[in-house]
Amino acid sequence: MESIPLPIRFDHVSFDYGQRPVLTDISCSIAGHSVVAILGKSGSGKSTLLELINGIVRPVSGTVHLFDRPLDYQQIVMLRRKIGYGVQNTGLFPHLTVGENIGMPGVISGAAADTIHTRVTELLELVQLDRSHITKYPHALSGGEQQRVSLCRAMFSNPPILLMDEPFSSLDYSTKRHIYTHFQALQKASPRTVVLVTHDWEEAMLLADSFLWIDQTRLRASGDRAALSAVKDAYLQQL
Amino acid sequence: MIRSIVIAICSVLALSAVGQPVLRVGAKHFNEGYILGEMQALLLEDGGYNVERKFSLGGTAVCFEALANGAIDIYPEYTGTIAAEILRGAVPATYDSLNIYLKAHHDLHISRPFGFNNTYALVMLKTAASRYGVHTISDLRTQGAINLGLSYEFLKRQDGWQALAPVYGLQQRPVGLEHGLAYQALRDGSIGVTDAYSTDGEIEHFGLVLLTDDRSFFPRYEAVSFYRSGLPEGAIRQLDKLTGTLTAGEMQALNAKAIFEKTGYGQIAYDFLVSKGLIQRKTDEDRRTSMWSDLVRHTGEHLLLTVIALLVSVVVAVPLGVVVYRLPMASRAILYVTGILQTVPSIALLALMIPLFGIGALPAVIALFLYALLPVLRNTISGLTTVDPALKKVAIGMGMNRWQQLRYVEFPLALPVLLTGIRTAAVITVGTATLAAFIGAGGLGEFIVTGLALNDSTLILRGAVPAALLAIVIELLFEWIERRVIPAHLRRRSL
Repeated sequence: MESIPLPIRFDHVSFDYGQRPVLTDISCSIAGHSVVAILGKSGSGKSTLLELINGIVRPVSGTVHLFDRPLDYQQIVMLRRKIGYGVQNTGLFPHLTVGENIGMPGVISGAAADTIHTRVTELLELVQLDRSHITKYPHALSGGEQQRVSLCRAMFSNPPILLMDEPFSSLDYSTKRHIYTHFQALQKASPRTVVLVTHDWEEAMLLADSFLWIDQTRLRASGDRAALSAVKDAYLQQL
Repeated sequence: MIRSIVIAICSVLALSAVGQPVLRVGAKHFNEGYILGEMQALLLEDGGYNVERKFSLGGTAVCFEALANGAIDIYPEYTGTIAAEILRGAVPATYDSLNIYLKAHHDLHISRPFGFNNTYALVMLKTAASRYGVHTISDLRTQGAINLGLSYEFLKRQDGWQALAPVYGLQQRPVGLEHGLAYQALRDGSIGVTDAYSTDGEIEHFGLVLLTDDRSFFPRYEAVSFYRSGLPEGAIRQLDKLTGTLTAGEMQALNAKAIFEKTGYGQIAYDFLVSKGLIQRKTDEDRRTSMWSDLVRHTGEHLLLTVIALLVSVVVAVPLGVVVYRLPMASRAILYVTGILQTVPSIALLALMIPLFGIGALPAVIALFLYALLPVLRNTISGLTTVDPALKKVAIGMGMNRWQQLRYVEFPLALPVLLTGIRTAAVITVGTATLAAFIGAGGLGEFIVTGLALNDSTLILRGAVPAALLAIVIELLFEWIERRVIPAHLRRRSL
């Protein structure tokens, strides 16, 4: 057996808001350099599972491990800078230009301005966005373009782990297909651990190597693409 | 910006420290108060003293408080007012007994009387008085149909209506009104009787008659100089020149000049003193104080009050807003307190400052600051709380620390709302600062307050128009600032 440390491991993790349980006794792990989809209907707790990884919420019981170490909440701010994070509806800052949005992870870690600029142009090229967009504000871009900018920002620091919370859910079908190819190309060029929260079975099937299915606060199923294929009917039925 | 203000304040302090001590002359904001205060000021200047005029003070209480605290050194007052209103009847209203008591208890002095007795009186139109057959105050007892409209001060004073009514057995229920409006109300018949000072310039002009005080209710109100201990001997000698120089008829004529000939009170005082040979005639250039230099000075004072109060409120309210926005309980409590401050009428808030901070610019700035606090604080908090939670989450998830979240995300996104708050505060402050004249802080209110006292609408407009223009300029300035710092798509639609 290889002894490569597992990037993410949940050990009997539970979370609740007082009376209302959100996640119950989740134990599972996520393999390195792969895309894992967290599936579930809305309100199933799948976003919370994601937020446990970068410490936006902390488990009520159980432990979250990153690279075989329990998450150190004293160091959480520094840790988050090594984890890319993207959310639904892009989460771009409306008061900052495209360039400033993408470069923000660099700014907060104290990177030099020209280093940031170089990285920003490099990332834009990667997702095939024109350089002229750098000085525009996000609202001037189309939904698909905004999503690509958001992807660039999440990958700015070349993080080993990328967390994405329903990043593509507000896009129309053809834009989605377009973004998927960008995403796949990026993942192929430099594979990293991607945790993708989605309610869309097809999206998971297309992008993910494995899946976790959260249903009524519990882990209902998990496995590789074959397993995902097997639960299709059950999953679509409960949606 | 802040550095230049500090430098300006320091240089003013330094100047006043090396120069001769400045004697500060106060005056109540009514005609005769201005004229007598101006006479005192001119006499002191003639004696070689530097004089600062702190006219337009709100009333007896404000003047006395200011004198007792050392915010002013001299002001004209009346013996009856000192005895009844200030000393609450502790001593009779004679020169000797007042002086002994004031020296012992307050370390203050009065001069010998100027000569006239400006007593309170109830007045009617001559025509109405003869129609009803009313000649004395006692006659009013049987005339229930005659409306009484009395000044607010007279209604409240110890020696006013509350004491007068039982002495004469008067049953009427008087209405309160601004003294400056009472004569007009008499003339158009909406009131039948009002209180007046026996030296009021309007008495002759409007054909009024004084009702005889047949029960000798009113004490004597002899005008005197009321001053602090430690005034230079020479200054006291200058003030004493007024002793026995003014008859009631002369005073009535001087007051009438101010009201009906619209002569400036400075001019009236000067002409009188020169005609009596009490001061040297000055050359024209010496005394030509142009309207423009007054306007510039008062506008400058007004802006300074506004800017300092606003800056301080921003410096205090914005960080306070940031701190409490994360603590919902604290923010609610603080908003309540500042909200209550806002409901205190501005003139009352200014008056409340006097016992704490005296008179002048300091209490005015403090009161204006308290007023500006709420809009800035409220908008800081609401600006921060309305930031999209998803964006806050992204900021946290990206690895921003508290300060970075505030600096790069929350604060810039709250800025449009915050700026609106500062803008509201600025406009409120410019408006409220016109009231600062009542406590001797100067500003454009100086014109308005004086104009109100003289019933001179030109003078009122001279203060009101620039104040309104200032408010517009501030609006435009903030629009410009918003255009500079906020991207177009995030700007709030403003009215």
